[in-house]
Amino acid sequence: MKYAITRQDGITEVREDDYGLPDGAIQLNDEQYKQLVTGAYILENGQIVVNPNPPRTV
Amino acid sequence: MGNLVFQATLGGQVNLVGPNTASTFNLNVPAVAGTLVTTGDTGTVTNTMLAGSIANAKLTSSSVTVGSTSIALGATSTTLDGVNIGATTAGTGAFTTLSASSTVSGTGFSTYLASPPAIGGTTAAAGSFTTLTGSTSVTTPIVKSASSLTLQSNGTTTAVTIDTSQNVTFAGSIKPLSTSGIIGTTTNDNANTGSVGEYVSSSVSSIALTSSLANVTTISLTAGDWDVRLVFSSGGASATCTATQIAINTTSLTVGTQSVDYMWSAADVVNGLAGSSFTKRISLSATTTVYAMSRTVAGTCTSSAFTLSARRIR
Repeated sequence: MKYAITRQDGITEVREDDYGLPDGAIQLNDEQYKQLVTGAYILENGQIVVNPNPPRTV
Repeated sequence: MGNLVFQATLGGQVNLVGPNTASTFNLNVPAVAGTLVTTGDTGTVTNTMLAGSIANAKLTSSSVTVGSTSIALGATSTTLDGVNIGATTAGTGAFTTLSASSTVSGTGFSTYLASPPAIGGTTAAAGSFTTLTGSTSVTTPIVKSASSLTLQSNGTTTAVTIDTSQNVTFAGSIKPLSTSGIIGTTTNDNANTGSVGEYVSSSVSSIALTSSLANVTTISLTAGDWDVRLVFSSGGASATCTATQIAINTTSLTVGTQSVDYMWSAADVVNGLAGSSFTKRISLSATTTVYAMSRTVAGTCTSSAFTLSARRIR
């Protein structure tokens, strides 16, 4: 399953495995997974929001 | 009526009495030696005295019955009904000709052989086929137990075992046809945990790298043989990310050996971008944390993204 969790350092970690959903994690659909993996969005207070510091593109 | 009297010397006499009739009869005396027979005589008439055969109608028992078939004396029957041949004790050699080729025929046999009953009838007797497992003449016996179904080869050597969860274990190698191979999934599903093809990944972004080596993300892998891949891209506003080290290792904050555990990323100096990926094999005997690590040694990587993924190869 795909899910996202906010680490203690505030970084959004997007994961995929079948180990089970950890506490505090939010399960993602394919579209949400793609948004978060690219870094264009992050997880903030349990919500998917636009990343204020996204990876730079040319 | 007249009498012809034979006077015996002992004093008695025999009277030959003629009928009282107005007609004339001739009584012919045969021209052979012998004794006259009377109606009161017994045990005197012999078979040689009969002229011709005795008709069946003159006999009290004029026929014999075999099973339910009655056969007149002197007659022939080509069929017998109601007879149990060898019902209790078969006669020696009574049916030896049944084993001869082409001697057993008829629609009854044809119908029976065209649709024979199940071996053991509708309810197989307990232990009917246990001897199959013990016979070396059966080259591929099937053995069913409470916990598995086993196919054996070379006598009693287990070749394939199917357990109650439908897991199949092969004692030898699996060798599919070279052009057929093993069919993969035909949809967008996931291999089970522990199965070949299992996928695990972790992605992070917005990582500001420094010159100090940092664990950027981790994944936990169970025992097995894995191909682990790290994909790195970096940029960010005003980024000048030109020299970055990325590493995969099972030891935290340890880059290991260059070209095996870590590499230097390729950089776009003009635009301040960087990106690289590499794959390494990690073979594990127990569940282990795998670390993705990075640091920058030249330039500023203000917003870096990493994806650490692993695919179970076997």
